[in-house]
Amino acid sequence: MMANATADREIVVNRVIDAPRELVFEAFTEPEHIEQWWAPRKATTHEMDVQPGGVWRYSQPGRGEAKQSFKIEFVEISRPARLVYNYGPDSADAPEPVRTTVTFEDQGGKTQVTLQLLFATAAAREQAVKYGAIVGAMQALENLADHLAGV
Amino acid sequence: MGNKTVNDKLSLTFSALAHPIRRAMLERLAEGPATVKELAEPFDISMPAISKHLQVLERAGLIERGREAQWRPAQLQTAPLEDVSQWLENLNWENNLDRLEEYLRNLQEQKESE
Repeated sequence: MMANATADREIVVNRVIDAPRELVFEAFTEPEHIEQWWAPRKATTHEMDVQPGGVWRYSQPGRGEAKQSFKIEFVEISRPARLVYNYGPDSADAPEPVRTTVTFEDQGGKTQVTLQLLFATAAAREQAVKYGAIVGAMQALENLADHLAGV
Repeated sequence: MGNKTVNDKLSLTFSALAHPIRRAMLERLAEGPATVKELAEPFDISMPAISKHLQVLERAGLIERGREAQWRPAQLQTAPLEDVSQWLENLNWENNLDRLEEYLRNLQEQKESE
């Protein structure tokens, strides 16, 4: 498992969730479920077509007036074990999408969910990992600027 | 799908944020507009270097400067910051899985109580 050719481009996250595998899989593929938990702020579905080549397009409100749109393009759907999709902002000047593989393993009625996020480049992965803290600090700035603009 | 470009909007913002001097400039601008001279003051670097950093910030859309004269104040623009923070929030799967877990817990509790 050590010398993985894509290690410098990927992030792997996993979690055991106390729910049956079929339900967890549905939570990733049915709009009424996914809209409730996916985004930091409630998502609105514009298109949902769960089949290879199909897309889920959604938007979510930003903190300001701006609404942001994202797109998932499904690559593989193996219900209820595996889901593969490309993920990115739904805009012309978006970066290369993040290839995401979600696996669902039954663990005696619970489900182990594993996400592998594969970025186009090591630099893009680094942005997502390292810049979290910087952007967090910048976000505080943004709040300050908004606050000052309002007074 | 075109070439792998690093000139997309998010990447531009990321590289603009990559330098501590540029971040410090943004911090100063969060308090209000400032002139180039004011922005340069805390740093022991040349004016051309200062103006290069400002250009990077401007190209990323993080600041706006007066058109007519060089000395006109620069002003923080927050939209690109919001874009990157939202993108990073969406990629933060520890948080996403927290929400999924909570959502499914509530859903199952609701079903049980029905």
